Amino acid sequence: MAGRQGAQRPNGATQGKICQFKLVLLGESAVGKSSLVLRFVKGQFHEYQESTIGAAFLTQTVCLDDTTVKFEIWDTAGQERYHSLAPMYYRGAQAAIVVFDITNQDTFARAKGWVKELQRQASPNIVIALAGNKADLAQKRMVEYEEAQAYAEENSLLFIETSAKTAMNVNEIFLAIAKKLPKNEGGGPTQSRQSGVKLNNEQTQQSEGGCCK
Amino acid sequence: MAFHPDKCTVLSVTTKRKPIKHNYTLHNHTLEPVSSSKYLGITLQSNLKWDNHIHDITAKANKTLGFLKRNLKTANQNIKDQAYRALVRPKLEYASSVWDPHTKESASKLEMIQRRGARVFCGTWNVNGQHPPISVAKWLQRDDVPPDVRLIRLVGIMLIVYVKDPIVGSVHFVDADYVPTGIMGIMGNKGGVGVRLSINNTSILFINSHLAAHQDEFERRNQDYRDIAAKMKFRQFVPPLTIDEHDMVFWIGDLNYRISGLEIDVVKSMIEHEKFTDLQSYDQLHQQLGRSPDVFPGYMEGKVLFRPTYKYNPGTDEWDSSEKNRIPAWCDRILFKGPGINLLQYREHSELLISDHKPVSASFEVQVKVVDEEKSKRVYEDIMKKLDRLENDYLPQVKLDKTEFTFTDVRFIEPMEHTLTVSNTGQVPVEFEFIEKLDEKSYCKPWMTLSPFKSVIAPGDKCEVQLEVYVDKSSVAHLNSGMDQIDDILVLHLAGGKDFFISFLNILVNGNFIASSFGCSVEALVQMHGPIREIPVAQLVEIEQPGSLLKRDMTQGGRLYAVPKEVWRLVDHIWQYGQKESSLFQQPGLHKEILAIRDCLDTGVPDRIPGSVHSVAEALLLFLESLPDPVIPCSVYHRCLDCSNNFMLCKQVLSQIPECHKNVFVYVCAFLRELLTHAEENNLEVKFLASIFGEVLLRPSKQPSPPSAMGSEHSSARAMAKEEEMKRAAFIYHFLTNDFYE
Ligand SMILES: Nc1nc2c(ncn2[C@@H]2O[C@H](COP(=O)(O)OP(=O)(O)OP(=O)(O)O)[C@@H](O)[C@H]2O)c(=O)[nH]1
Ligand SMILES: [Mg+2]
Repeated sequence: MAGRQGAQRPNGATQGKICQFKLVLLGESAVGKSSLVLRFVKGQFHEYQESTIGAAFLTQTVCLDDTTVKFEIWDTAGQERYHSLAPMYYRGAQAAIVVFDITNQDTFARAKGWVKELQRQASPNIVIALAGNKADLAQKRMVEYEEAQAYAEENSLLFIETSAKTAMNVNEIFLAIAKKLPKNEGGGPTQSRQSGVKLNNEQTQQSEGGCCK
Repeated sequence: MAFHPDKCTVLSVTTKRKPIKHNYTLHNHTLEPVSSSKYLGITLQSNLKWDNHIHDITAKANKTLGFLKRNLKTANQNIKDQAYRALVRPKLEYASSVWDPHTKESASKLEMIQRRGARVFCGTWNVNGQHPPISVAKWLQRDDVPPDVRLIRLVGIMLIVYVKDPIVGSVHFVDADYVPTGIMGIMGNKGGVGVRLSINNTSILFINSHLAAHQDEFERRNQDYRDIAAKMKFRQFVPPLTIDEHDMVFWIGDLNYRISGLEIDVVKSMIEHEKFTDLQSYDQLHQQLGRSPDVFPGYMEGKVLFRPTYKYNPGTDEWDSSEKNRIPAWCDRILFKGPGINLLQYREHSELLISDHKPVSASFEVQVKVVDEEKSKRVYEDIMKKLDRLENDYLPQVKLDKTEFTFTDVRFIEPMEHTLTVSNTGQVPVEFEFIEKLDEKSYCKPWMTLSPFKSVIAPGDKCEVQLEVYVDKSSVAHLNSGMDQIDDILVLHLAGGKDFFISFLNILVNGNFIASSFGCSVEALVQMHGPIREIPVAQLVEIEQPGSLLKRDMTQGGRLYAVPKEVWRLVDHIWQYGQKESSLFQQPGLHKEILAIRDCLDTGVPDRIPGSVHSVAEALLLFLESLPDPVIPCSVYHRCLDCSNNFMLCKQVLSQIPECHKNVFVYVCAFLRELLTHAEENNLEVKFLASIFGEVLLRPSKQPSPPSAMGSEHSSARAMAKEEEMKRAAFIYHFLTNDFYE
């Protein structure tokens, strides 16, 4: 991950570091991976989103209080026939969002498969978030919130139900990941925000006179 | 709705430098063309920029701010705050969603308006090496409003900056530096010291300097200034911060500039009559400040309306009475530089007597930038969003006309082609390349070629990629046996130059291969009753399994051909129609005829093999070459080479290979010997045949031989290959000149 030191100089933006992270979206076809990315990056939603072939790349920045997190987002193809290529795309990712469709139990089973694969094959410190997408279709719900929540807890995943359609929790899931990612590398020169001597009124110091002229 | 012509103006919106002018009229009244206009409180500009609006509102807000400052001077901070929020902020934010400060300049201007007033007190006193025996309160506590930042210069070159407790939290990035300019540039008696700090978002630098002395040395003093200005650096910052990079600079000290051009008595008399303004025109610093580009450029000074501060008899208010009899001078000065500094007081303190100098002090009100954190965050986020958008817009983008290609009924040595069109639909040139998948050596299967497999496409342009499938002798066996299929995923990789922005596109390739007797194993061929096309795929896969022949032997004892019928048919055809033909195995066949021969062998029709005898001869060679394991199996290849000079040993090796392989070998050799009996007619030579059939009957396994320990030099590798070739020919030669069963 590329931690970049922000403006050191006063008068600049106060945001310190910019950290860049690779994030990959995985999950069965049609669960809404591309829709989540499109919502997050461009604020749009398409009723007829084309199925992804390959892996598309977009960037989006999230500003936290002290750091700026720049995501390099890889949206992958969910179709099973491309499965063998997935490792190529999640290789080196520091974060993953595994997406399932709450109206389809099979996609939840598939999501568990992805989690397992990531735990086995991806970078060991990868931050994984589980997204139960299409939360707007609650009347057709087939995966109970509690069930997914329990599974996420067992596997130490972040879990949020989202809707790319209504934008519910879309920013939030990326924000939650941004917060959870380690940003400690680098460090940079320490800035003394308040270096100086505190003068107490009682102890006035005598200054030594020096000759001049 | 009616419009009043007097209240209407024309604002044409254009980015053209020379817009077309047209007179618009309303009720016979020509409308006044303007370049900016107010509409619903927003200033519209013909270039659709908003700087006028921003200028307008900042000016307005500033006015209100001034009004508040005058009237709420004594009110507490809380009330000031509320008034600011209620009266100033709304002016700034009005319709901000419309004009949305999008240039950095505009945005920073908006941030800057959010200032707060701070008091700065500067004092300088050359104490002539004395300890003040008296209270210095008269010097330091002169203003009603206590300063937020206080700066005092006491002795030698010493600088102390005090910050009032309530604003300590807003002060950060404190740093100091010094530049000696005394003798040899190292002595500390002359020079400058600087302390810098930031209050909120304003950087403030205080410099105290003691410049060169003596009446006529003003050039030395100027030089001292330049040295300090060039050398002072605050190294806490990366890169180090220079003096000029500060918002505000206060430069104080015994600058030592004198009054020149007047007799001492005239000077003293002018002082007595308080003709300070007149006298100042003889002051060396005053003469240069603002006029000379290299003496304190950009610095200002308040009006010097006080008595010169030098030189007194210490302890008195009397001018120097020593024999040097110095001309009074304003040695001690306070200069400042930067926007938002308002000088309130500039004065001397004659009541302090201990030194030959009098102290000087100045108080200022300064405008400290306070960046509204929330707003600044919003602006920052906004900028980041715009950068993201730019970045995403400039990602390479391509469209593929098709992402799935089907190659139906692919046949052996019959090329099939599809075209993939890659169009660059993005805004930047695209570099594309087909890349290998993880753990794969090549970007596509061996039966496929892509041309070009990499290229660069300009925006709006396209590139046609030929996808060719061609199954040859090296790839046919796996397709026949079902170990491979016409099925692949190609990964097209896009790079926006230097691998920077990347994306991948998957292209599916599928189809089917029509199995051919070419590329079947000898073992499978001898089990094959009837032409291959009539054999179900499942059975083909089964008889291609290793060891299938043995299993069959034991279980069914089924009828096996001694040699594959295809070999028999080809050999028999040449025997019948070509034994006296010259240039056999030398003259190439016709590709079309070879395809027909392939179909004839695979389908069983027609009875007679089509094409010329030369095509049949080539088909025979191709057939033998396409066998996944050659007639002489790879496993004994090296043994054959080793014993190639000894017929008996060669025969021994042969006796150990599988029966069906041996049969083919013996059969082919017998046929070749027959041909040689007609050498007068067909001109065949035994050496030629030995060499040709050495290549097709004896082949090393496909695995690349391990690189030689000697680093495999080219020439030695070639010599080895030549030697192998000779040994293969020698091996065959025995069997073309001797009967195997002798
Ligand atoms: N109601 C609803 N529909 C959604 C939501 N998210 C996506 N969709 C729809 O679901 C369909 C599939 O969405 P995609 O974003 O293409 O799914 P994907 O996971 O990228 O699919 P692949 O690219 O094939 O892997 C589209 O028609 C979307 O409009 C959602 O939150 N609510
Ligand atoms: Mg998709």
